[in-house]
Amino acid sequence: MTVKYTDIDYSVFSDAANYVSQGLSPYLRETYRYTPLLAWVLVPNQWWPHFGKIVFMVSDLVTGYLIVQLLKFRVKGKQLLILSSIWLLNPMVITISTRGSAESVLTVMIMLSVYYARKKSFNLSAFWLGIAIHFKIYPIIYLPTMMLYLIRFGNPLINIPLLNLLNKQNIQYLLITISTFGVLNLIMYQIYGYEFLYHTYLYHVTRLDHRHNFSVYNIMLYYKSSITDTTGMMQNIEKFAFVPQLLISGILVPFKFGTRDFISCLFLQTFTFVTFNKVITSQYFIWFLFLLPHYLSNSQLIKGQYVQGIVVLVMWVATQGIWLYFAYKLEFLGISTFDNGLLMASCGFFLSNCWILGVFINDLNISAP
Amino acid sequence: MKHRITILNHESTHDSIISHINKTSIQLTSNFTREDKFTFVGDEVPTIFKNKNIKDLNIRMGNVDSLVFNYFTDDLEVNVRPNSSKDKFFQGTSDLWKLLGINNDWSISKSSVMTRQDTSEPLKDVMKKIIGMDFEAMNLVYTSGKLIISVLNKDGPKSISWMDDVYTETGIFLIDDFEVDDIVLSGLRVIMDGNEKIESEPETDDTKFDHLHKTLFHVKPKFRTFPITTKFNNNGLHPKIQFEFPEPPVDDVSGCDRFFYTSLPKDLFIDPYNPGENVEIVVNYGVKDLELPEYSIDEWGHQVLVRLTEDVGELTLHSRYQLPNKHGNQTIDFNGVAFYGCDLRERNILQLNPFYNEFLDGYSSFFTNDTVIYQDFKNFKVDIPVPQSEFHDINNITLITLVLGILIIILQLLKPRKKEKREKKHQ
Repeated sequence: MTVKYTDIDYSVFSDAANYVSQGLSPYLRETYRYTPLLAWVLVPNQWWPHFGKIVFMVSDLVTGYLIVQLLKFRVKGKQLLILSSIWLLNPMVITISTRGSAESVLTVMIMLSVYYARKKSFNLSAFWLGIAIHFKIYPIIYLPTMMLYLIRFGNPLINIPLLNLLNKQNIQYLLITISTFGVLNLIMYQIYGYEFLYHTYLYHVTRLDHRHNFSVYNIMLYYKSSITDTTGMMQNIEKFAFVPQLLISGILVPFKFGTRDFISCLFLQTFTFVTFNKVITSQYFIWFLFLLPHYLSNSQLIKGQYVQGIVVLVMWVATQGIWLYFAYKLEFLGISTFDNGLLMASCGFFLSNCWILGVFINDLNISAP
Repeated sequence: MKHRITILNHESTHDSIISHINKTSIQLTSNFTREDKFTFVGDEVPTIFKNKNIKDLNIRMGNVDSLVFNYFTDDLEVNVRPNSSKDKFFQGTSDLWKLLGINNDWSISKSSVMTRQDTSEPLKDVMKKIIGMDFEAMNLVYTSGKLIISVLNKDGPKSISWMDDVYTETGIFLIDDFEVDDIVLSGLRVIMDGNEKIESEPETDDTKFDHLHKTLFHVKPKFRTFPITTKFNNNGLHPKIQFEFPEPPVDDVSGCDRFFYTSLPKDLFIDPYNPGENVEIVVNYGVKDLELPEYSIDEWGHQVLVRLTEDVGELTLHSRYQLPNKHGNQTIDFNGVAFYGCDLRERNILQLNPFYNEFLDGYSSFFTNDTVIYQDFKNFKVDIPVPQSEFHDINNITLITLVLGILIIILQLLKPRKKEKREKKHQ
C-alpha cells in the first residue's frame, strides 16, 4: 500500500488558491474550511506547486526562532538547545509542514502575539492575536489569559469584585484584538459572503465528524449519526461538549495560571482544548507543541521528576500508538475495529491526556512563580 | 400499435425452423433468441406512462449476451428527463414509481435523473400486462408521446400470433458471416397486418415461400466484446480497481481511447481531486459531498466515466461510513465496463443498424454516434467494515470516560497553590 507523502489538504489549499487567482471563491473547492487569507497567500502555488510547502517550512523556522527568543528569558546554553529542539528538530513538526499542512502559519501568528506580549508591546501582541483568531477561531481561548496577564500592568478602573480585573491596558488589548479580528472578517464577508462565515467558523461549530479520529466523542458520534430517535441530555452529550472544553480551557486554567505564567498557561489551555475537542487529528498536536518548550523550561518534569516526565511521554505516545494500530486495521485492512479497538483506544487516549494534564497542572502549581 | 419480432436463428440454415404458418400465426420448431419490440403512439400509450411531469423515460434491465442485440444493463436502471420543477416532478411521479416498484432516490445524470436497483417484480408484472409476455431483458423508451418497449428472451416463445389491428412484422435471421466489425444476417421477413395472404402449410424448400420476403443485412455492431484485464483490491476503506488494457483494436476503427464507466451506489465515491493513477475523470455525476455517511444521502449514487491515460492505471474508490449492523461488515455489489471508445473510419454507417436500441444517458451517450465501443463488463464486490454495538452502550462508555477525565482535571485544579501553602507554613 503506497500512501502519498503530500497531505490531501495541500491539494485543497492549492485548488482554492487557483480559484482565488481567477477571482473566484476559494469555497468552490470542496472541503476548503479556512480563511480566504490562506488561499491568497498560496496563489503562487499554481506556478510553483511547492511554494506553499516552502511558506510552511519557513513558518516552522520563524516559530522556532521565536521559541528561542522566548526561552532566552529563562534558560541558556545546553538547556536552551535541548528545549528549542523539541520544536526545531521534531520529526513530527517537520513532517507535518513538508506534507503541506498550514498549522505552522498559525503558530507564527500566535508566537508573535506571545513574543510581543512578553516584550510588553501589547498593541502588536493584540493585533497578532486578532489575526490568529481570524485564521482559526480556537486561539480566542487565549484572550482571557492575556487579559489576566495584563492586570499587573495597570490599576483597576473599578473596585468591584471581578470588574476590578479590568484596567486600561487589558481593555485596550481586548479592543485591538476584537477590532483586528472584526475588520478581517468584515473584509472577507464583504468579498465572499455567508459561505466565508459558514466554512471558516460555523462549520467547525456544528461539525459532527463521524470519520475515525482520536477524539473521545468520535465513535459515539458515528453511532449517533446513524440513529434519529435520541432524546434527553445524556443521549446528546456532543451538544454540550463545548461546556467542559471551554470551561476548563477558557476559564478555569486561565484563572489558575494566567497571572502567574501566561505562556505555560497557554500551553495548558491548548492541551485541554485539543483533549476535549470533538475532532482530533495529529495536526492538532502542533497547536500545543510549540508552547511545550516554554512550559518545560521551568518544569519539575525535566528537573527532579524525570521518571514522571518519562511516564507522561510514554503514556502519550503509547495510547496514540494503540489507536493508530486499530485505525490501520480498519482503514487499510478493512477489519471492523470500531467497537473494541478504536472506541477503547480513544477513551484510553483521552484518559491518559487528562491524567497528563493533571500532572502538568500539579507541576505548574509548584513551579509557576 | 406495432409489434416487431426479431428471431435469431442459431442454426446454419432456415430450413425446417418453421413448423406451421398461416395468416394469424407462425409456429417455430425450437426456442430461439427473440426480441419483441412494441411501439405505442398517441392514445395507444398506456395511461400510466402519460405523466405530464415526465418528458423522456428510459427503463432498462437485464444483461443478455448477444452478438446482435444490445441488452447489457446489469440490474435495473431508470433515467428520466423531468418536464416540471423538481418538487412537482417528485410529487407528481411518486405514484408511478411506487406502482413500478422503483426506488424514489435519484441522482443527477448527463441530461436526466437516474436511479438504479437490483430488480423490480412490480415492474415486470406491469410490463407483462402491457405486452403479454415474460422477458429476460428489457429496454423501455418513452419520448415525444411514443412508447417503445423492447424485450429479449434467450429462449423465446416458439409461437408468434397476430393480434387484431396490430401490425406485426417478424424477421428470422441467421448469421451468415461474422467478423467482429461486420455481421452478415440473412433473413426471412413476414408481415401480418390482417391483409396479407398467408396460408398453407410450410414447405420444406424455403425458396418456394412466396409470402416470405427474403432479406439480407450487413450490421456494424456498435458494441463489441473485447477482453480487458481488471484486478480489484478491497484495500480497507479505499478499494482500488487496477486496469491493464491490451493493444487497441484495429478492425474498422481508429483513434481509440481507454475508458471505464461505472454506476456507483452511494456507498462508494471517487475523490474528484485525486481519482488514482493514470486516471482522468470525464464524468462524475451524483453526490458531491465527500464526507457524508451513506445513510445520510437520499440520492441514488454516482455515474462515473474515467479515461485512462496509459495502458495500465488504477482507480481509487472510497467507501462511505455505513449503518452499524450485527455482522461487522456491509457487502456492496456494483458493476462497471472497461472499454475502448474508437472512431469508425467510415462515418455514419452505425446508424443503419436496425437492431440497435437507444438508451437515455447510458455510457454510450457520452460519445458521438460514430463511436464504436469495445467493452468488457466487470462485477465487483466490496466489504465495508461497520460497527456492531448499540448506541446506548457506546454513549454510556463515552459519558463515563468524559466524567472520569473531567474529574481528574478538576481535582488537580482545585488543589491550592503550593507556594501559598509553604508561605502559610512559614507564617
